[in-house]
Amino acid sequence: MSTDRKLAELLDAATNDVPAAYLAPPLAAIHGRVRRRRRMIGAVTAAAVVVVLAGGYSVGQRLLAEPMPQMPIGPVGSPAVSPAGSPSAAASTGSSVPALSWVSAMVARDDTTITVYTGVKRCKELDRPRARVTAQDAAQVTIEVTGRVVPAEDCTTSGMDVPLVVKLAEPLGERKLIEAVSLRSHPTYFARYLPDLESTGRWSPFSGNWQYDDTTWYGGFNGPNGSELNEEAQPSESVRRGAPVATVKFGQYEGVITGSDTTMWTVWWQAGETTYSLQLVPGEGKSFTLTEFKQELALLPT
Amino acid sequence: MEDFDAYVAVAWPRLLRSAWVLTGDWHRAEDLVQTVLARAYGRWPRLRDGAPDAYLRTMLATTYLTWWRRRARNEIPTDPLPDRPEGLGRDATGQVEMQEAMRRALALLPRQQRAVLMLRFHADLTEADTARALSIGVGTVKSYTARALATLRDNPSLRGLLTEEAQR
Repeated sequence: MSTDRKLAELLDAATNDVPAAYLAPPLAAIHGRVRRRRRMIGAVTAAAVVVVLAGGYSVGQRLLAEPMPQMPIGPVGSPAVSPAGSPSAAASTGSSVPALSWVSAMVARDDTTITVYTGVKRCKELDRPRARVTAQDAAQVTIEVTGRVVPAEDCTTSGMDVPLVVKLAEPLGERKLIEAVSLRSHPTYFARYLPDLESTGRWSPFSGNWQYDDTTWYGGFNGPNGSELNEEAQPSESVRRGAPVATVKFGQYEGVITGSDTTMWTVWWQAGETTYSLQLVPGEGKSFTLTEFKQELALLPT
Repeated sequence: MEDFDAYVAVAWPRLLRSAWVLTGDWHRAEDLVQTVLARAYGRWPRLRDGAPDAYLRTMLATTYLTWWRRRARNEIPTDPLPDRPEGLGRDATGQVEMQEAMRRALALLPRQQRAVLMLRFHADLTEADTARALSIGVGTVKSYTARALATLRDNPSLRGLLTEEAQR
């Protein structure tokens, strides 16, 4: 037997006896860290969001609005450095700042506030990204993101999708959102299909929301007794969920419930081509029965 | 994400063992794995269809080598290690003895060598993959491995175990 193989066996043997106190995965503690991490990152990204006012809906396909004076965005304290990444397309802005793709969008309940998410790879981050409407008509609204991809100062916190907010002068309505680089639509989610948790007074939103990846949108709320509600939206084709344990009437939708009282419960419902979900996470050391979960759902405005 | 929880339920012990190779302490190992899993949660949709074990073990190593080091600054040194706990007697197979010997030997290694050992011999990564994971050259991986093995062989309890089979 080689020394390499022997060393591998020795390491296996040395770590074989995990003390009983450490054998069970501390899922509640891990989710607690996830929540704290999201609050921290959310606070940073929320402070960095750039709001661009777009021009009127009736102006047609010409460039409709000049951006408001914008504050730099990027990691706190990041220097203005030269680009190191490969922009996905040439700029259409006439400036030297390259145009970038965005991967998904969330339309706020007011139907005029659009948050687009621009993704970067691990160990990269965006330097002063900006979003604006470059064209719109009766059928679609084109949103462009510009910015530079730069090496991240800390790889372990890089790779997060950056939310950028655009404010439309007129409601989006039935119009499609178009991404300016590819001139294609990307997953677009609507807050109106999610319960208005803030209006209940029982649930307070995290200081930001996030994009897991190129498809999944996430929002979180703190609730009574350390509980938490997690909202997700993703294209129905990419949904993975556990076995249904019950169904529930959730507003106008037929919700499917998954989960267990030893972990957490989730209700899923579909609107158009999107699946939305709401996950109730108990406070540490607590749990919810299925009946209690349904009671919580009944309290939510739908 | 239920499949994340399901994965953690299954993978937790093996990730914890890998973290122990790095930290030599179950409590710190648990802290390190929790930290990495909390970071990986947001990337889970991208990880689950690939090789999450390898990715997470790489995260264990890189996290251990970066901010983990700053966090643990006041927890070093580990040499000399505390005496073996009371009641930890010799077991019939020598398992406890060997575990303690390995712990003491690993504690003598520089952190990068421990990270290389964990990735190469516990996560079963190739030299090239280990080099990529730690952003070092393959030659450096070979060098660290050789130095680490030499140090481990200096431990009287491990010397025989690491050489007797190889010499046959």
